[in-house]
Amino acid sequence: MDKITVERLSFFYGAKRALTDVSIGIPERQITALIGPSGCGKSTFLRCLNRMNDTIRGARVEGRVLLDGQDIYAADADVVALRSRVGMVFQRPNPFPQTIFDNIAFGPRVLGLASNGSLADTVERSLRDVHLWDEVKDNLKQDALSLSLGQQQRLCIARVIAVKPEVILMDEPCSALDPIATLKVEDLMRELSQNYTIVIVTHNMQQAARASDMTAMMMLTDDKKSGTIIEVGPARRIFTRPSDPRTEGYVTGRYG
Amino acid sequence: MTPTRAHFTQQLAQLTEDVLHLGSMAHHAYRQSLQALAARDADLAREVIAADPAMNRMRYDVEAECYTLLATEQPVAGDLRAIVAALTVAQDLERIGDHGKKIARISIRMQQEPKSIHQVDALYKQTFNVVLSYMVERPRWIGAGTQLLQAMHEMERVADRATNVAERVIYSVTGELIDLNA
Ligand SMILES: Nc1ncnc2c1ncn2[C@@H]1O[C@H](COP(=O)(O)OP(=O)(O)OP(=O)(O)O)[C@@H](O)[C@H]1O
Ligand SMILES: [Mg+2]
Repeated sequence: MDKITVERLSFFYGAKRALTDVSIGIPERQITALIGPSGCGKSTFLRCLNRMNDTIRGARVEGRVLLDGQDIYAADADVVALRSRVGMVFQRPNPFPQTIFDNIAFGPRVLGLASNGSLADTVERSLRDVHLWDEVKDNLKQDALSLSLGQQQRLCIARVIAVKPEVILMDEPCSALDPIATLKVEDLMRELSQNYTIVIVTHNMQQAARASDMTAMMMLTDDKKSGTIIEVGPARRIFTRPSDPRTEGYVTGRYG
Repeated sequence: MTPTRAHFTQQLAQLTEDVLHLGSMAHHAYRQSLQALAARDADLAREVIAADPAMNRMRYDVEAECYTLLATEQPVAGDLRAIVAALTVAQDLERIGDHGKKIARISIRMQQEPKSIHQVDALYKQTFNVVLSYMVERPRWIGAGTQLLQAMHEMERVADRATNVAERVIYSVTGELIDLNA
């Protein structure tokens, strides 16, 4: 079952076309990795999935993005509700300059999801889900910025799942982390994928090979000006026998 | 776009060359063993046997190259398939050398058999059943017949190994693992 269906999506930054005719089905409760050379539009595409591009002046979308069959760009679509259903984790951990507790509690408070009593439960559950609870349970009043980068990134994931989203978008979530912290995030993604649909952008081929169920290869199209998905398939196939020679060239590191 | 991984590409080319070299050694040994058997040429047979250790070394060298590339280069897709294929092909080629060695030993044992070259040659061209019936009809041929049956068994194994190699080549090129014997 596809959680998200993207149909012939094109995206423009004003006059500049960044994406052309991107089509893909993103399967529910699986990890889909987007790979491709720098500048091909991976981040742009990811941001289209929860309308994070809306705030950019002159940004324009063509085509459709269906979440559970509903077009998220429909005139009557509720963007705030969408963002709580489709959360995002960024390249650099970006905790708020607040306590660990308040970071996690932020979303539920804003969305009015939790009374004060159950807020503590939500914070504990979210931190347990990312395996951070044992490390921070005695220091919940500590500044989140005092955590290590790896811990901060897991905190940011906890912050996203505290509002009970359905989809988690991650844009190079491990690029600032050391190998062990990276593997912890990958293990975490694996566990989270039992309950959430995950889309991750990564430049790390081993990470895409290890951590994704589906892998989508993005590239600039022939006019060299805008990106599109040229091949998508199970990670095990993309990394053992890709069918497009451009995918082969990219995953084997022959062409950057 | 500019090509990258020049060093790795060169190492893969070297690996292919080493496998091909092992292949020509095995091919040569096998052909010589058949020649030794047909001509009952003990000197040639001893040459085949003497060539075996070099093939064993070559196979382990190829294996070591493959392990190093797997551990250090994280190969995927066509690169991965080429290395995995090289690993198994090297083993099959080395075994073809072993079968040649066994046939060479058989040809040395057959020195003691009171047969002319022509008779041996004629027998050798027959199938398993024909050899058997010769042995039944002419008990004095039992010794030679038994040796030849063993040699034929080795030849059959060589054919199997050659099929394995062909399967790995197909895998390396297309990514499809198919059973050519099916
Ligand atoms: N806010 C923006 N305004 C105008 N153009 C933009 C904007 N953001 C990105 N672009 C352009 O859109 C194209 C795709 O950029 P994007 O960041 O999506 O690529 P990417 O695949 O994520 O690259 P990287 O791997 O380097 O992160 C690039 O040409 C980029 O310059
Ligand atoms: Mg990006």
